[in-house]
Amino acid sequence: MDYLKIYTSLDSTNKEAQRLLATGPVSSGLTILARHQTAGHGQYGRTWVSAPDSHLAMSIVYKPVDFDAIALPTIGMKVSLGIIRALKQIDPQLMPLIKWPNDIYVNGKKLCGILIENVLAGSRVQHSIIGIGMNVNESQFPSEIPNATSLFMNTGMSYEVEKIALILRQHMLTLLEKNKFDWKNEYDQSLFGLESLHAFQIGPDNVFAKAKGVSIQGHLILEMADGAIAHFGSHELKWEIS
Amino acid sequence: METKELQELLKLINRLEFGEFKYKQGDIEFSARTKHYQSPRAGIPSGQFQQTSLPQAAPVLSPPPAQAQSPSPANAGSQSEESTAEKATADNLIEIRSPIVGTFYRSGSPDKPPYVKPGDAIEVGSVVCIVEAMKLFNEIESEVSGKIVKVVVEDASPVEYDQLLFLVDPNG
Repeated sequence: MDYLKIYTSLDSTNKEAQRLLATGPVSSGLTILARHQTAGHGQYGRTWVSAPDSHLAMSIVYKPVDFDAIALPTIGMKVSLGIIRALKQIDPQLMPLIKWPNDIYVNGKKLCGILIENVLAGSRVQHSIIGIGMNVNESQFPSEIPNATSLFMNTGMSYEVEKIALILRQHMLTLLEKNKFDWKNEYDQSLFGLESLHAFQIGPDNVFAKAKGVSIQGHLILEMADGAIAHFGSHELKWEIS
Repeated sequence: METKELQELLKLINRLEFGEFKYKQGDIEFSARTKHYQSPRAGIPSGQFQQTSLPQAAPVLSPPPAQAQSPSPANAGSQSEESTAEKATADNLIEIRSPIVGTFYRSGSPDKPPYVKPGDAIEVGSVVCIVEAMKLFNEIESEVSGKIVKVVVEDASPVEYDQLLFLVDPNG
């Protein structure tokens, strides 16, 4: 499979994708999988090494054709929704949700994080590197990260990381290559906190609000306690998750 | 609606001076707000909802500070239809503008030196900055070669769509 490169160990799959793009031609859809990742982003900000073949670390190179940066938020949304669809295929009992903007939660805990790095020439998107970190076969996590969960901890099953990666890849690419804009309702319906009260930190304030959806610019739409509808960028609010 | 039409619609929303846009056709429904958006509740005392004091809770309502600081004469008036982010100024400098709304970063991470500083020579394809939006990290490559004359925006400031970021001397 020339679209899948598997490494025993890498600093980070996103960095390997950058190196490949810098040194030669790379086809859209190329997928990099590391059995062991030593310097992955977003790994809870600490050096924590999971047992081999329990954590999934992958990156997909996506090269859109004639894609204006103005629509970039849709790439993040499609990736999140692709992961939701893949998880539902892996186990239809799972109830995965998108914790806006770039995490996937199951049963109130983080299963998966997404890190997308794009390169733009002017306003044209040259390529996207879509990095995914997912907890697959971990049976427990250190007490410093009580908010993490794995597929195994939810289903009691062990999985081949490579198979999971291919299912994720297929669902993400199907959505990314989809020209028709008809997936937005499904995305909104998959949001964590949709129509239920959650605590947010907004500037100096702690507030309770209901998520109503995500705008086409990628902003989270919240209904505040007084009924007002407000849109927030990712730097403007924080989820308060106990 | 297809990707191309969606992109055109989003560009239009950014150019026009209205506050909010809502679209609904069949199953497709979405909304967008611009920097011109004014809360209908702005100015109403928050009263019993003090805890959720909305006015400062919605920074989208006021222009970000970086925008106020940045001299962007070419940004006034109508923009050309072309999507190119570089434009020539009166003194033959080329402008590099932000293709998206987001946060401007001069380097790849806080412990790294800036991609470019005034006086640096750049080539077509040189990375000049990162604009982060919704946790998407976007490296902006230059479409021109020349010399960086000015970095217009402070590191880690919010930037608007089409806001001026760099001035480049193509003959430098």
